[in-house]
This record gives sequence, structure tokens and C-alpha cells, in this order.
Amino acid sequence: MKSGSNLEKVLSAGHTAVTAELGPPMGCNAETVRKKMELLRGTADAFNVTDCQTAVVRMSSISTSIFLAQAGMEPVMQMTCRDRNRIAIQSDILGAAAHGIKNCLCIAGDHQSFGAKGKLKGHPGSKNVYDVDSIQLVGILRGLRDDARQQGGDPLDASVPLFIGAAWTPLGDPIEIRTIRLAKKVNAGADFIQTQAVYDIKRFSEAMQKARDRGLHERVAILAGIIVPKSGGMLAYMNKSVPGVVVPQELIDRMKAASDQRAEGIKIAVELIQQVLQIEGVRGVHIQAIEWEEAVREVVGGAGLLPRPTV
Amino acid sequence: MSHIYVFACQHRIPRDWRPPFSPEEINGHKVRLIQLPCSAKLSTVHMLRPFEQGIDGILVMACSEDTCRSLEGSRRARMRVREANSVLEEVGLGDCRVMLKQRNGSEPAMYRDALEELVAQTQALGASPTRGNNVT
Amino acid sequence: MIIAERKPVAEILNMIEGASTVLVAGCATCVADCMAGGEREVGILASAMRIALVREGKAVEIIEVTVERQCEREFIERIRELVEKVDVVISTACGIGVQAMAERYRNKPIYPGVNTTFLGLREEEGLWTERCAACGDCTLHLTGGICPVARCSKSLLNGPCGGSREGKCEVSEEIACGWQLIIDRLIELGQLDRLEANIPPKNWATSRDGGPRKVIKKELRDEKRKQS
Repeated sequence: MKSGSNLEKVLSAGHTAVTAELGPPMGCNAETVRKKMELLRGTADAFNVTDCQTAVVRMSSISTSIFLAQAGMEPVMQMTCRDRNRIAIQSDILGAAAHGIKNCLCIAGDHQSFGAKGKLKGHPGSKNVYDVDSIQLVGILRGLRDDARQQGGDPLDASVPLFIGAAWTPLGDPIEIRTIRLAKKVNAGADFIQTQAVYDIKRFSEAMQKARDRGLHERVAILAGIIVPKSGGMLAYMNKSVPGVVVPQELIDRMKAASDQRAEGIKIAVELIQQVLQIEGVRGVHIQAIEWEEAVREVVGGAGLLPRPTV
Repeated sequence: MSHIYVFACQHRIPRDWRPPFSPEEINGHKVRLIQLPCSAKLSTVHMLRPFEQGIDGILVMACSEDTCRSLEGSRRARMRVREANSVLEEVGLGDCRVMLKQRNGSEPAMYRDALEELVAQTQALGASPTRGNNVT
Repeated sequence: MIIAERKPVAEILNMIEGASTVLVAGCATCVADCMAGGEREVGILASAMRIALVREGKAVEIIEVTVERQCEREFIERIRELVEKVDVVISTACGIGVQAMAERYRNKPIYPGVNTTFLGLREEEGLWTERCAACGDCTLHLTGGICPVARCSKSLLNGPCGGSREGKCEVSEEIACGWQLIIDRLIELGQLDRLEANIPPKNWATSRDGGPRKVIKKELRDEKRKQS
């Protein structure tokens, strides 16, 4: 065991893993977090806590993750390279580990200009950091764990038990680099991968084939990303505007034609889970029901993945 | 009485208006006609300096872009006219005191029409705020 | 070359408030090439200032001069007479030129007439784009001659983030994805395999993060001669 996290144990035991996302609130109300936690409790093996996603200031990923850990729900603390240099990153990781946080997902993070793209003002004038990139961040975490050493070379008093995650956008542009990027993350020390949302099973299968050709599926646990669609409009929007998300037209049409789009969305998510789990090398799913946490239980249950195993 | 500078490509100047017999008044407007070998010779600062002295507007007479004998001249004049107007707008004189006409003819009537159009435009902006300036 | 953009006239007028003679000093090197602060732009700025000042009913004398390179002492020394006779100098050189002038003319206020924006090149008529971040540790040989530090919005060193789409950066449709450019070029060169290697965290100490930098070429330092 590298970290002894529940997610690691579930995967080691050969179970299909399930993770789900929990977005921290734009404020300091712990009650909001607790409500979301209760909606999600028991639906997954670990819960991703986002780190100021879309560059909007929210309750920190680390403190929200502590709430989860204290309540017996395992967090996957997300850590972006946008807001912290390697000093702050390592310091936060040490603090998080001391609070019992064992999973960390390393990502570049949305550029700070994102915060102003929707209805919010965000902080587009802020300075970004990107001292390290997400792949280097994976390597830093591995050093903290395997060598009990900081990136700069100084020793730690003990190794840091971490289960290290990274993201993968298999259908992102430039497509020629995506398998290489996955390989680099694995070489850097990633233990698990959560992918960008999958809707196009055929194209995702092709990307998985390329990963298998390099044997990557045997070195890392790949969890396919599932974003539960709320409407046909949302699917069309993601297809058009979210990099790396490809939604087949028939899925958009099917969603638009449905009389109850939310019910259809849950049905689609369930089918997608069943399909991705048929693909060799897919070890689990990562479910995002954005500002719709209620949907997760129905989706995971519908896919026959409840109750979650106790390991 | 508006005070207008006219910068004109030599190929666009009516035969009897050539120096030293250039008109000083057209349609009742005070005019200074400056002949250029090509509109390409017109720099942005040439179009700004007269405004320091309080003129109301500038008319630039160039060839159409596909017949300019210096090939690029008239096109460059178009860019510089745009630049002059944008600087003038920045200092509060509006964005249409310099007017470019790219034509193939050279009849006086063409000038009269363009001048009327320019004067109407500049009068809508009010008299030049630098008019009567003696600061040099 | 160093790329700059002229500051708005109103901002410049604000800086010279109270002065009765102003020298607008241009530089005929980089800022002339990017049409921000060369002789031509000095003329335009000076004229714009005069027009604006007349509108405000202010009698301010604006003098124009352009030197070959404001970042060289020999060149700026040549305009000493003009500098000494005015109240304020607006330098339309890059930030280096402004500081060179300020070092040379210690008793004269030297104010910037342009915003120094980046190190880049003229891509098309009227379009200049960034190429170099002066990070102090060039690795262009690894990335097809295209710099990820300067041309990726996140300065990522191990490939593109998930936000690249149809050649564009997630920040804006107006920004080309630097990594798409790198990958296209490496494919053309048959060198895509160069991206397989994991690039470790960069030592940014050679960049601005190490504090103000200097380059010393020992062979050319004469210890016997006092440097001025």
C-alpha cells in the first residue's frame, strides 16, 4: 500500500472504483458542505474536491477535504498549479496529509481568465503561478512519498502517504500528444487517472487502445469521466465549447427529444458507465453531477455499483 | 467659413488648379491645396500638424488603390488617414476630420462634392476646438 | 526586438501637469520598428499633445528629438542640451531607455511615453506577437524552436493542458495554442519523440524570480579601469 487510502484499497482489491465530485461553496458556510456531503455519502469510494475550478474563488480544496475526512468520507483533494508555487504546494500537501487526506489529483487548473467568462467577475487580472506543471507536480508528490524528500532535495521527517492522481483528456487537441501525455503522467508516478468526460464511446475506445498499446493500463488505474447531462442544450454546449469533450449528435438529439430531460440524463449516464466499463483497462468511473449532487446516487445505483465495497 | 487643407496626389489635381494657380477658396471655404507626387508621401504627422493651427478638416485626394502608380501608395494613405483620425479622436477632435477620397478622375466638381461632405461632417462636430490658436 | 505601445495622450498629459517645456524623446531602434516610439511616433505624439494642450488653453512648449538608441549612454549624451533646457522629458523608448535616461540625467524627471509590452516580432502589418520570456535558460532545441514559456499561457513544459482546442488556447480564440504549434512543428521535423521525456521542474532562478539579473563577461571587465 502506498497510501492506504480507501480508493487505493478498492482498486487493489480488484473492484470497480467509483469517485464523485463535490464542488466547494462560494462562501464560508460549512453547512453547505455538509449538505452536499450527505447527498453523496456512500455513493462513491472517494470524493473529488475541486480547487477553485474555473478560477472562481471558493472554499479551499484543502479545508473542504478536511471536512470530508473528519466525517469519514474520503476526499480526493484536487491541487492546481495555477495558484501555488512548489513551496506552497508541498506545504499544503504536508498539512493535508497530517489531516488524514491521502488522495491528491494533480492538475494544471483553468487559466485565471476563466473566472470572468460566465456571469461572474472572477479575477482575470490576477497573476498566475505555474511554477510547475501538472506532470511535474505528480513527480513532486511521488518524491514526498517514495523518497521522503522535497523537490529541492531537503529531507522530510517521514514519507507522505499519498495516492497520486492525474487528469487525462484523451480526445483533446492536439490529439497526437494525448497518449504521450498519459505516458508522461504514468512515468512521473501517477497511481490513478480521471479522464475528461466521455460521451463518444467509440473514440474513447480508440484512445484506450493506444494507451493499452503502451501497456499504460497496467501501470495506472484509469477511471473514465462521466458528466451527468442535465439537458440537450448542455450536451450541445459541451460538444461545442468544452475542449476535449466530444458528444455524438444522436446523444444530443435523444436528450433534446426526451420529455423529462433530467431523467433521460441519468439514464444516459448509467448507459455510459456500463459501456466504458466494458473497455479493457478502464478500472472505474469518475462521476460529476455539477451542482446536482442528488443525481449521483441514482446514477451509481442504476449502474449496479451500489453499495460500495468495504475494504 | 471652414478652413480646409487638401492633400492631393498630382494625378488627381485638375489641370488649371496646379501650382502656382491653386485656388484659395472653393465654395466659400478657405482652402490650402498641397500637391503630392503620390498620396504615399502623406505622413500621419502631416495630417496632424495643421490641426495645431486650428484648421477644421483635411481632404485627401488619392487614386483608387488598384491604379496607384506607386502600387501601395493609396493603400498606405488609407491606413495613415485612419491613424490620424484615431489620434484626433483621442485628443477630442472627433474621428472624421480627415476624409480620404480614392478616385480616378480629377474634375473640380469631385472636389466640390467632397468638400461639402467634409464640411458638413466637421460642422456637425462644431468648430475646431483649436481654432485661432497662436501657440506654436 | 522589444515591443511597446504608446500610452494614451491623456495619461501622458497627466504626467506633465505643471511643466511649461517638455521634451518628447524617441528611440530609433526597437520602438521605431514596432511603431510606438520612433521619430515618426514622436511627431505624432508631440502634435497630439499640442492639440490637446491648446484645447485646454495651456501654453506648453513641446520639443521633439529622436536618438539612435536610448539604451546607450553615448547616444543619449548627445541630447544633453535639449534635456537640460526642459522641465520634463517624455521618453518613448522602452523601459530600458527610460531608465538609461533617468540614470544619465539625475536631476530631470524622465517619464514613460510607452508601455513596454514584450519581446517579440512583427508577424504581419500592424501585428506584433510575443516570442521570448527571457527566462535565462533556453530550451528551444527541445520544442521545435517554439517557446512554451512565452507561448503557452500557462508556460507548461510537458505538453498542452486539456484546454487546447482546434489550435486555440483556452484563454482566448485570439491566442494560438503554443503547444499545438510546437507539436505541428515537431511532427514536420520528425521529432515528436522528443516530447516523450519528462521535463523536471524548471529552475526559475535564471528568470526574474532570481531577482534583478546581470550578465558578466569576465574577459571584458578591466579591473584597472574604473567603470563609469
